[in-house]
Amino acid sequence: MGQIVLARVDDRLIHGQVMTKWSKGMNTNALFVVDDATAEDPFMKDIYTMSTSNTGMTIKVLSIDEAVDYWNKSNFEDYKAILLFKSIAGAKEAIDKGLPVKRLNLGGIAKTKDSKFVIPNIAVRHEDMDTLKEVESKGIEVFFQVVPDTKSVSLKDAIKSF
Amino acid sequence: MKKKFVLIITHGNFGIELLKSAEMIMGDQEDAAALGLRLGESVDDLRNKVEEIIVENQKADKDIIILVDILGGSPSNVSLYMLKKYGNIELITGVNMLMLIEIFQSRESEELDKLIEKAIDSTVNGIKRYNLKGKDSDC
Repeated sequence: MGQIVLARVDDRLIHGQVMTKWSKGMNTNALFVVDDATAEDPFMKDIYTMSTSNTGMTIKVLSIDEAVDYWNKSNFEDYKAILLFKSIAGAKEAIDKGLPVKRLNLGGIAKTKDSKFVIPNIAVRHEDMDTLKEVESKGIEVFFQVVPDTKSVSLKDAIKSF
Repeated sequence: MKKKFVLIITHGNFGIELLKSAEMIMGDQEDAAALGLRLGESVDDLRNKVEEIIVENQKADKDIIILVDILGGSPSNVSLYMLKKYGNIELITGVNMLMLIEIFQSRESEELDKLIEKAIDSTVNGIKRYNLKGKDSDC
């Protein structure tokens, strides 16, 4: 049976921090990009798959519904996977639809006009905090951290300073 | 022989400084550029800069060799995007001093395939281990 090692919201999806830091030391053998837009874009899908060929990692690019189906049918086979979401809304939808996420890492969200930095590189809007509170109320640990061994901020502390 | 344009793309200033260091040894280079993605900078901006360089140099009928630091990072994602969009681009990961010097040394005399092969070999063969285990350390 497979396992979700970590779920992460990162608008860059697969990149250096994920490949070199998160995927090491957690006994991970797969990265699943879970994003409807990317899953429908054969061009980008190809790029993510190419970028991790020769690394020993299995990469899948799935829509939210495909990821949920994959879990329900086969529990991700034997993959110890990191799930990568492009947005908080996407992660929330996947969790609501039944993906058994235990920890949700906010790892990289570019700043927009109406959002504010929680820690450098991770900016959220007020309504995102409400969404995250809902996620945490399901017993999921929500934390802000760019890479392991750097400062990690809990949702509670993030809300306090927001 | 076609001219070969070398574009280095890395996390932070590594590639920009690497180009300067290689030029210290090889002299100033034409047809070479380096871009860095710094913390907080947008990948889309980087992609636009890279695209501009590629379009300009393909128009000038040059071969393009992109060198990036790590496979799977944003610089490599951007490069693979260009490779798919424009074709006819060579991408090597693991850029380093030996690789860059080899390319600058041989790019006017070697065909593209051979040059790429030499660039990779120079790196692999250039890594040696030394220590004084099992020897009198009087040298």
